[in-house]
Amino acid sequence: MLRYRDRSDQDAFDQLVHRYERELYSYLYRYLGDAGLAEEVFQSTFLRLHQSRRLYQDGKRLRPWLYSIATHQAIDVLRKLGRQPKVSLDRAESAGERPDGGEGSLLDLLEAETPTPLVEAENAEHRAWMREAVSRLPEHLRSVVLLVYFQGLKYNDAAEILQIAPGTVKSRLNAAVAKLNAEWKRWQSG
Amino acid sequence: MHNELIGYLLGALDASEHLAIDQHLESSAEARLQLEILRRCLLPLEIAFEQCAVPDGLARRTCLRIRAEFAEPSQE
Repeated sequence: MLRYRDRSDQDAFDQLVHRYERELYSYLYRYLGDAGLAEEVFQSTFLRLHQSRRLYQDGKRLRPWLYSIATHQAIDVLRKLGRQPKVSLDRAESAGERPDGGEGSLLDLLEAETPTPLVEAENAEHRAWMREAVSRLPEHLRSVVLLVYFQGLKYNDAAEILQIAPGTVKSRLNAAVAKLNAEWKRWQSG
Repeated sequence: MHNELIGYLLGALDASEHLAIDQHLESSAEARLQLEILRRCLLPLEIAFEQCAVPDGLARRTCLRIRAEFAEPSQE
């Protein structure tokens, strides 16, 4: 990044884009739920990085800065579109078809391991449910889940990206897990 | 402690916090049980999102777009 900042070395920039291609695109795809939007925000993130390169300080870590730019860009896009991340409508139609109405917990997801077509169908349903449930989380909880759980970032890095205290990241992640578990139980019993 | 255990499972703690949890787990059966429950609660999240494929040429297209930006008269 220093080479790019100081000498506008295009090769250095290209290396940065390629290095973060999979990681950052995956994050944006999960955040936005739409491949086209994820690509657009991916590109605009690096465009913003280019425009802001003079602000990069010696010793500053690039990864949190890049995620911070990407997160803000993604939030802006969603606000402009006036919506939450895309949610699968297929899932809503199949939710009422569950044969068992018993109350369960997330732990139950782990117990149906027999590879029968029925179980595979249920697993697909569980995946769709969880994907939808995560996308329904309030933005301040969803961003923490995506950064810490799916992107594997440290609490401190997520805090830096979101410009909140590490303790807030921890409590939000805990709240998100609790909320998902509660919704899972409601879904099982409904 | 609950929040710290989630971070411990996800590798989200810094080194000193991680070590502190290690030591706590060694001495507390209750903490170990809580950790196992949390671990099983978190596992389903792994299947929430399938591995998403990166569009072919994404990085290349991005670089070309930025090059176009380079080509424009500097505004700085």
